[in-house]
Amino acid sequence: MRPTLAEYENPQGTLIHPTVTARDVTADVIAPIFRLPPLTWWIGLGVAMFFLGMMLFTFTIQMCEGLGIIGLNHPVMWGSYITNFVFWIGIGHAGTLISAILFLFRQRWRTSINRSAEAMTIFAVMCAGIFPLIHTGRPWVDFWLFPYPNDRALWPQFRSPLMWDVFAISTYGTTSLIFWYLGLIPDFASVRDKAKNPIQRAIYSIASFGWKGTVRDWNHYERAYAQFAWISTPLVLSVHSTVSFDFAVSKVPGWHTTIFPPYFVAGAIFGGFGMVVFLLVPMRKLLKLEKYITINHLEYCNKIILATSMIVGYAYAMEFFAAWYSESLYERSQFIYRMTGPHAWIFWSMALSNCVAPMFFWFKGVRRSLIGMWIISIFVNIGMWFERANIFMLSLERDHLPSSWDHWVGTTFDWMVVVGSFGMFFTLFMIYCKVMPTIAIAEVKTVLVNPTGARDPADYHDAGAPPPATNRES
Amino acid sequence: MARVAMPYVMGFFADPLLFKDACLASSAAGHHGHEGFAPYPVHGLERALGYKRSWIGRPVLFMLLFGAFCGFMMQLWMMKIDWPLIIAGKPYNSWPAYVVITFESGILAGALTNLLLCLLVACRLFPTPNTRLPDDRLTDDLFCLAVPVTEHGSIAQLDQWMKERKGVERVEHYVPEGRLSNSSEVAHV
Repeated sequence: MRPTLAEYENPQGTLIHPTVTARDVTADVIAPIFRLPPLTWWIGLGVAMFFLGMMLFTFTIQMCEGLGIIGLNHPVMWGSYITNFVFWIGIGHAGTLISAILFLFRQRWRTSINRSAEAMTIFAVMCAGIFPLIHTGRPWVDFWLFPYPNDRALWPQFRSPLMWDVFAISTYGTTSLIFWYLGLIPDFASVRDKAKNPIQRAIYSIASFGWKGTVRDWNHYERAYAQFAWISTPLVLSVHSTVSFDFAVSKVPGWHTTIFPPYFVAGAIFGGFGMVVFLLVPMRKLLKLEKYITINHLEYCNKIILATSMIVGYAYAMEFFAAWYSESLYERSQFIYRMTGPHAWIFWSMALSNCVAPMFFWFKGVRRSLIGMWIISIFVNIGMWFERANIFMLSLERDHLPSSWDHWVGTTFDWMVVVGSFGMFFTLFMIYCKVMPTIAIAEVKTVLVNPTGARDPADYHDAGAPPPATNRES
Repeated sequence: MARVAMPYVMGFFADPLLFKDACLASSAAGHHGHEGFAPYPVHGLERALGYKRSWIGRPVLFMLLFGAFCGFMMQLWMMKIDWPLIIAGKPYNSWPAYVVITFESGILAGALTNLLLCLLVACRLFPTPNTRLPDDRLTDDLFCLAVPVTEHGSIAQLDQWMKERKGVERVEHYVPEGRLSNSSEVAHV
């Protein structure tokens, strides 16, 4: 008798239900590529593209009219664009953490979710990269940011953290993309060999780099994959640290603090996992992948959200402590302003969403409830956007010169771009769900208890095989 | 496999453990040039076939360090030699400020080398629209051990050896013309 969906979703003692075979994995993961997408996919894509259009419309108007159309003023010269930039860069971090750091720690539960999390990273970095480029005001000369021999014989200012960002983000985007692509190659080959349509087969054959899956190839491939994990681990920790230097090396009250790098990295992982849960809960349902992205996998993500929420909450508290302990009037007034000023709702929304809402994950029932975790993931995403708004906008509103104090007020265009960036992200993600294997097929097969389906798992153990796959690698 | 024009005897296995046993037996029997196909990585297969650990680690480490060196020297040359400017009273060689880009340059060089070295050099893969494997299930749930027929053996001997392997589902022969035929046909070759 075949297991029920509830049994598939809650495997006992294994990562994936013992009755799932290697052939099941290939068939189930590839099926959405070959079947027509459901109506919900078309509706979702349409809505996402509509929002994307809003962002492109705003950018077009900005090209013609200038940066004045958004709510920047003096002294708030970094408004919603930089908030979006840091928010999206942070979202990307969960993907790299899952694919690289959890790989090095031999956390085998990552195999079911790493592909989509890495895709999320790529798309989030793409969204993030747009904002500093468009924020320059003249994006058509953004190539000036790179050091190239030019008629003016000028070089970029390498002592500036903004230049560090150019290199950090472009390296992060490139490395994440090729790491993701390396993981996709054997799975593209699986799609290629199941494709009936010759055009599809040719496309996936090219995408798979002619992968044959010889043991010799796997030998090099696994080494390269592990090396990518080693390379990406310091990278993921450095990127958001570098982003935090944009602020921490300045003297603006509320920014000038040494806690920023670890605080930003923890916040990025927190927000990134919030987005992972937000995406995976509906995705597994729509693509019928509940066997592979089980409640257990999501619970692991929720535990990381809970842990990083406490780190972030600690960082918030330390900011206040440092402001008080420093005896700097500017620092103290900045943090009092955040809590009690006209934009205090931003601070309290952040605190509620990032420090209070995830505390429900202390309850196992909430950690394992799809609706519960999905609602909390929305809070996390909103909270992380407000966290950045709280840091950037509110700090700039109150600098060292009281005569220049002002309020940031977003225009319609600001909000169109905020929503539009989500539109761009979801457009890319939905297209990805249709054309690529959303689960790492070859990797998931390595955690199956009984890949052939022909044996009793106990026999397998007797034959000298590793014990049934649980989270920790033997 | 097709790089050398010689006949191959191929045994197909569904069970990864029995396939690994067959690989070990092939190595023990002294079959040179044998190759395995696997739909997913199985721990220890490369050692079972007698392969050494992949060599791509050191070149990647070298390129990573070389990239970092170039990144640092680029900044030093631009900021100190080509157009020295005093900015915010900092020295021309503000090396702590150059650390981030030095690090990123190294990472980028290492990552690109890792990908290109693995795919193009080590695995000798190249995008091609018409990749065909002996069986489409080799990227799904089937394993294959391909043993070349050298001057020291015959197809019939290898065929028999392969059929004796536990868990083999079927045995096929690959002949240089590029034709796949079943064992009964090739028995008359």
